[in-house]
Amino acid sequence: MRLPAMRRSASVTLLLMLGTVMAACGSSSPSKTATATNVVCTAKTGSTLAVLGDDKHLEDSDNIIPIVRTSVAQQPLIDALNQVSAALSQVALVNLNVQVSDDRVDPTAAATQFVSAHNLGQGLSGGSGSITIAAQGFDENETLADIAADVLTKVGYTATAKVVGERELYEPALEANQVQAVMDYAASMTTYLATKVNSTLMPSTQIATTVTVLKQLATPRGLTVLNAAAATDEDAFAVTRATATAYGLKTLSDLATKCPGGVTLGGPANCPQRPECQPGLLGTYKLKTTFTALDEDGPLTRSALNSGKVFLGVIFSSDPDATPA
Amino acid sequence: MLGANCLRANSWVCGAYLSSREGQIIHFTIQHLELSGLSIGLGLVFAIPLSLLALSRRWLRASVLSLLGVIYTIPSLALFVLLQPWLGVTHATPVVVALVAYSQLLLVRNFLVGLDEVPAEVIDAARGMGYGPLALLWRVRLPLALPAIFAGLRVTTVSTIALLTVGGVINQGGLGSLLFQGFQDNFHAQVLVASVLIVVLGILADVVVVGLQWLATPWQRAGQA
Repeated sequence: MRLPAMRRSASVTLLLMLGTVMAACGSSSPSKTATATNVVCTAKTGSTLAVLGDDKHLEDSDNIIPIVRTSVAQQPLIDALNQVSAALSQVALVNLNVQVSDDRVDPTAAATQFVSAHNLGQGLSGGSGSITIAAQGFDENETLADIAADVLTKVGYTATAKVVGERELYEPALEANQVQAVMDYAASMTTYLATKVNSTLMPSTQIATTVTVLKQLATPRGLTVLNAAAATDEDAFAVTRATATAYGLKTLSDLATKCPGGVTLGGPANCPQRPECQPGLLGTYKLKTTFTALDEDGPLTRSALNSGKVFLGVIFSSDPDATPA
Repeated sequence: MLGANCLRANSWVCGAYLSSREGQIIHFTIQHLELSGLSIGLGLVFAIPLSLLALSRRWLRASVLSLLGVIYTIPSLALFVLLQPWLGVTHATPVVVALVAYSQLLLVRNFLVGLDEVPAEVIDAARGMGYGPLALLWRVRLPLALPAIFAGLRVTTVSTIALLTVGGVINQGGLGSLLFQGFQDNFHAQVLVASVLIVVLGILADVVVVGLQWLATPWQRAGQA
């Protein structure tokens, strides 16, 4: 909940700086003028990426959030998992993913290291009983489940992380008490539960609102929603570090201001149809884009960005190479 | 971290993968053997009475075989999802149930083919010598049907070891779990090691079944020699 506020104030400062820079260059102020609308920006090649801040909150808030069965939601468990959430900043999550996805450290080992580095579980005790934490079958989620299991073990539970697979598998397992906890993603879980009960409730781009909606959906199903982490795993828009430096870009608002003529965009084939992708860039940021279909956060997107074939690429905010601009 | 560079480079062949994930690889290999062994064993337990039943009643035979044929056509992924509400997803039961169900068509059909192909004059001769129905089955028909039975068992063994891989979608697929995770995480060394091990297990298991057949049918060797 602290993050959006911080981002907003940061972006105000940035806009002020931007205005100064542009005035100094003899260019017009960020308001629309005839000359400014023609500026089409071209990408600079480079091997490292920079994620532009989503300062106007285009993306649904897919923050990491522990969800547990209400039947096991005693104080030691709640406190322990909320400690994990508190430790999971975006940088911390990206660093974990660098370890497991780039350096291929075993998720269990990365988790143990994270728990001791952040002193998780410190001062907590009194847990008892056995808790199985469901994990989805990819590095990041396995690592998060391992972290939760480690912390709960420290607090006194007999906790194990178990890869169960997709949400369609682990959510019913959670309701059926086959597993007791999961490190989930707020917006995705909200959408899943809303669809499951044919509700019109939807996740929001603000995490606080998403959590409120998620609680409404989860509570009747015997599930307790704990605190959301600052870290997200959601769509993010990246440029090369060289491009960010050359144009002075930190946020998507910066990009819209600096390149009113538009930029090229590469990403998954469904980006032109998804409201939070190409249409959202135009709607929320007034950023015009020419789209090239590449892949979902894969090597094609990376190489198109690196080679300057596309200016802006769609990746995930928790990718190992997703460092903020 | 000797050789850890091939992990970072995501090489297909990577010794550091083997050394850093040794425990995991052994765990999943053992799980693969356990689950496929259990499925084949249970498959036999069900297939034998089912074959005898189909053999005893001519009219049952077509319906049993067509029912097993229908089961065989259900995609495994669909079967796991169908079984999940009853059997859960945190253990391997749905996978074993699915594999046992699939094995029935292969086993029962081959059992029946084998038992049927015993020449009528041999059966007549045995009856003439005073064999009752049980002794006829046990001492005449079954030994003569063994080559066809073993052919069915070989196909079942290899297909079970291969099909178990699909259990990886619910992380209960032995080496299939390793394969699926490697695929999901774009981890080349893991994908290669898991694939190679599945193939090796399949070949080794086939060799074992052939060996069992060799031991079980000494008269065939005598005939060939």
